[in-house]
Amino acid sequence: MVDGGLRPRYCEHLNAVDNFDMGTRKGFPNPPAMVRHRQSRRAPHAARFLMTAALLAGAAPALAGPLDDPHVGSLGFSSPTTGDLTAVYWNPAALGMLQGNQFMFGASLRSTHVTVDRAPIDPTTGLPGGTSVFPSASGHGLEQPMAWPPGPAGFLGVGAGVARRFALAIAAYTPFSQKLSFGVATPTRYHLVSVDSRQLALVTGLAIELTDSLQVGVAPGLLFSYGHLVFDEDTALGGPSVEDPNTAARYDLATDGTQAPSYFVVGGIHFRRAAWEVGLAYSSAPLGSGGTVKLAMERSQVTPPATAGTSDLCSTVGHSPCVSSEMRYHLPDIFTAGVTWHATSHLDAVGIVRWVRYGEYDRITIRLVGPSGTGLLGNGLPDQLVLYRGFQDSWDLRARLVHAPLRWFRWSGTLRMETSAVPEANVNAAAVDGLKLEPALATEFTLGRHLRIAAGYALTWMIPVTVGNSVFNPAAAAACAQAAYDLSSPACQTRQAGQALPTAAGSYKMLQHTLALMTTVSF
Amino acid sequence: MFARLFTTLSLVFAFAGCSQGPVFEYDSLPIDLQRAPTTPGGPALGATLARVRTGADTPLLVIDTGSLLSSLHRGVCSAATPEPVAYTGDIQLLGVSQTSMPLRAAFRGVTLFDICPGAVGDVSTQVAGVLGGDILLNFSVAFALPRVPAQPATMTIYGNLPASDSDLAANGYAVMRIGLRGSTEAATASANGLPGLPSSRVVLRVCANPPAFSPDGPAQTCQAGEVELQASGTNLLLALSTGHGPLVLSASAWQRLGGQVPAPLGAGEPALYSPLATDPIPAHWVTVSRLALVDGDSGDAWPGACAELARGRRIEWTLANQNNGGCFQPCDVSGGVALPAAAYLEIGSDMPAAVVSDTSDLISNLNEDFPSGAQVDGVIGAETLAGTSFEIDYVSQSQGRWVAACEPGADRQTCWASPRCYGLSSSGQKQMCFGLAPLGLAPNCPQ
Repeated sequence: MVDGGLRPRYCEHLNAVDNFDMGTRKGFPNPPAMVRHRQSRRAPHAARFLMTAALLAGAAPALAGPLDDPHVGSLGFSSPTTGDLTAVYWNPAALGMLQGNQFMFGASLRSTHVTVDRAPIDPTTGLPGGTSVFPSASGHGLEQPMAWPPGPAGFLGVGAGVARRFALAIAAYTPFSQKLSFGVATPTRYHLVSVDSRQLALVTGLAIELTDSLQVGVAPGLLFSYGHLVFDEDTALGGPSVEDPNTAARYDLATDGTQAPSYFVVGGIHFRRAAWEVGLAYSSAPLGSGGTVKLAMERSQVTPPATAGTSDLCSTVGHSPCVSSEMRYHLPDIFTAGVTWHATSHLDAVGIVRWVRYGEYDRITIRLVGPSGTGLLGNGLPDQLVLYRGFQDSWDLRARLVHAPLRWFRWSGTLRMETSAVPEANVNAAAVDGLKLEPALATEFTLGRHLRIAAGYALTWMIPVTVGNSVFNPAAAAACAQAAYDLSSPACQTRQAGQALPTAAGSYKMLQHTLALMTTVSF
Repeated sequence: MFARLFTTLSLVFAFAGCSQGPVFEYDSLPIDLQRAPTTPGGPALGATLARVRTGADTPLLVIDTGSLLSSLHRGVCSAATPEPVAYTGDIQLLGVSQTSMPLRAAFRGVTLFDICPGAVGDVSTQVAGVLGGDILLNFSVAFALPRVPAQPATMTIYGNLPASDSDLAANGYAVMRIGLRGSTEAATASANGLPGLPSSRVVLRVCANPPAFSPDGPAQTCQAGEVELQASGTNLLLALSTGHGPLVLSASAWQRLGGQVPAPLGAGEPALYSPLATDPIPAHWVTVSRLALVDGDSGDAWPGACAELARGRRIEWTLANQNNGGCFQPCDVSGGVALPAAAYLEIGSDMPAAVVSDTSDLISNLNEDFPSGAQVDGVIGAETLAGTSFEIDYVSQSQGRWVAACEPGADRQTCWASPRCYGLSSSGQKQMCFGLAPLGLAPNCPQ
C-alpha cells in the first residue's frame, strides 16, 4: 500500500475547459427539445464550439466502463444539451431551459451476461499453459430500481423554472453500479463470486440563465453507497495444492443498508447559438476524501477453509457476524461534452463525449477485524486485502439522430462506442471490460399537454477479450514470502498491488440488454 | 467572461491538491521486531526495535509510541550533545529475519530530527533513531508482544481500524479511548526553527496494585456513594511507550503505592536506558504486583481507574452469580439500572518496575505539556505488556483508541481483557460480558 500525504489527483491530467466567445440570444423555449429548437437560427460560432468540444475530447487519453451507468435518465434522448430534469446528471446548466414544473420518473431493466473461459493452468504452479482445464463460467446480473437499497437504473426528479432566469431541481439516480453473480464454485471464485455495488445520488440542481444564450448550472449532491462483495481467498496460494477448494476461504462482505453519504458536485455550462447547442459538464468524484469511498461492511462473514482449525470464527464470541470490515475504493470524476445541431425543424443530430477518469480506480482495499484471540490471522486468514483493478480512463462516444415526424411523436437512434476501462492484462471476472459497441433505439410519445412517455432499448456488445498475459500471478505470493516480504522485491510489489492471485488468463465475453422507460409530466 | 471564470476556477481547484507530502509504503503484514533487554543483562523483552537503512549501514531503530518525534542521526554521534536539527528524510524500516533484513516499510519525505538517541535497555543496545508518534499517528498500529522471548514481537501498520467500539467489545477487545498528548508548545517554541509536533503520546489511566479478583470469590458490597471508598489500589497516569522495557514510575508515584525510595536513588543498581533521555537514568528496581489499564476520562464525575475497576469486578461477580442471588450493588446502580462496566486490561504479576526521580529527564519530558496539577506518573513499557496484543488506532476517531487483547491461552492472573459491558439492565436483553454465557437481567440489591 502506498499512501501519499496529498495525492495529486489532478496534476497529471489537467484539461482546462477551453475559452470561447459568447454571443447572446433572447428567448429559450422549453421541452421537448425538438419542438423547442424550431426557431430561427444563426450559426456564426458553431464551428468554434465544435472545435472546442473536439479539442476537449482529444486533449486527454480515452470512458464509461464496467461501473457507471451510461444511460442515466432516458435512453436515447438525454444529453448535455437536453433541457429536462435529467440535466441534473448530464449538465445542470441545461436545467436553465426548464419552464414551468416538471416531474420525471424513469426505470431501466439492465441484464448483463458474462462468460468466462479460463485458460488451462499448470497443476503444479498455477500459471497458465498447463493441463488443468476449467469449465466455462457464466455470470448474470439484473439491475432494476425496484430494490432496497434503492436503485440502480432508476431516475426520479422534480424541478421548476423560476422567474425565467432560474431553475431548481432535485433528483435521485444511480450513476455507478455493478451487479454480477457467478455460480458458487466456479473457476472465477478467487476474483469474484458475486458483486452488488450501488451509488445512489441525491442531487439538487440550480441553473442560472446568465444571458439569453448562456446558462450555468451546479448540482451538489450526496452519494449513498451500498456494497456486497463475495469472493474466495486462496490461503495456500503458491503452495503445492493449486487452487484447491479446500484451502479457499470465503469472504462475504456487505454493508448494512446504505452508508453515510459522501459529497460530490456536478457543474456545467450550456451555450446556444443559432442551430447549435453545446453543453460541457464536470461531475466530481467524492469530495473531501480524494475521491475515495469508504464503506463500512457491517455484515461481513469470513468462512475459514476446510483445512483450518475452526469452521466458525464466531464460535468463540457467541454471536454472528463477528467480523467488521471496511472497503475503500476510488470513484472516477467525469467530463462530459455534448453538441446538438438542429439540422431541420424535425431532425436533430447529437454528439456526446464522456471522459471517465477510471484511472483513479486502481484497487479496492479491505481491512477486516475479527474476534480477539486466534481471530483471523491466527487461522491463516488475511485481515488486509488488496483487490487489484488497474482501470484506465475510458471514452464514451455516441452519435445520435433524433427525428420528430409528428408533434406528438419522436424517435432516436444512437450508436455508442465505449473504450475499455480495463487494460487487457487486468481483465478478470470482477472487472470484465473491452471495447463496446451499442446500438440503441428510443421513442417518445406526447400524450396531451402534460405527459410524455419514452421507451428505449439498447444492446451492448463487448468485443470478446482474450487475456494471454494476465497481470495476476499466483507465484508472487510464495516468492514474496521467500523474500521475507521485502517490499522492494518484485514479487512483493506484485503482492502489494493485489496481483498475487490465481491467474485470470482466458477469454471473456459480455452482452448487455437495457430496456428503459421514462415518464415526464409537465405542469 | 464566464467561461474564463469557469476555466480559472477549474484550474484553481484542480491545482489545489498538487503539493507533495510524505509518502508511506507498507503492506499491513506483521513486521518482525527485535527486542532490547529490559535491564542490563535482562531478558530480551524490552523496547521494540527494527533496523533502518542508512546508506550501507543498517543500525537499530527504536519504535517508540511514547516519543513525540522521530529521529535518525546522520553521521557519528559525538560526545557532546549538539543542538538538534530537523530535516526532511526517509526511514526505510527493515524487518528482523534470521536470514535477511527485508525492507518492510518506508516513510518518505518525513520530518526527522538529527539526534543521537543513545542506548535503550542497556548500554550495548545503541540505536540510530526513533520511529515516534509523529509518524505513527498516520496509521492504526498493531503490536503483538509475546511473553516468550523466543517468539518475535511484531508490529503491523494498517491504514485504519474499521470496527466500532461496541463491535470490538462484542468481539472480546478492551477498547480504551485515549487522549493523545504532546509537547506542542515546547516543540513549536522553536527559536532555532524546529518544526512543531502533533500530539501523539498515548496516556492511559491505570490502577496499580489492585487486589487479585475471582468471580468465584466473596461478594463485595458497596452502598450508594461509596464507589470510591470501595476502590483498592492506586490511581496512576501512565504513558504507553514501546521504546521502554519495564514499567517506569516516578518516585512520588512509587511512594503513593506504598513503596520506599532509597537515597540516593539507584545507588548500586542498574540504570534505566531510555530513548526519551540522553543519559542513563538512575533507577531503583522494584516489582509491581498487578496493573489494570482502565477506560475512562479525567472528568470530574469520573471516579478514577481503581473505582471503575472495582465496579467492573462487582458487576462481573453479580452476573456470574446471579443464579445464586447475585445482585447489583447500590453504588453501581443509577436510576434503577446498572451502570456500564468500563473496559480494562489487567496484567500481572510481579512486573519489574524502575523508579526514577520526579526531576529526571524522562519524567520531566513526559510532563512538559501537562497543565499544573496533572502528572504523568511514568511509562508502561513493552515488557509490562508482554502477553498482550494491542492496536493503537490514531486515525479512526478524533481522540484515538487503544484496543487490547490477551494472547490466546493466557490465564486470568497474568492477562485479562475485559471489554466494556453495555446496558446490563435493558429489559429482556441478553449479552455476553466478561466471557460469561449470554446473560439476562440481574436484580438490583436493596439499599
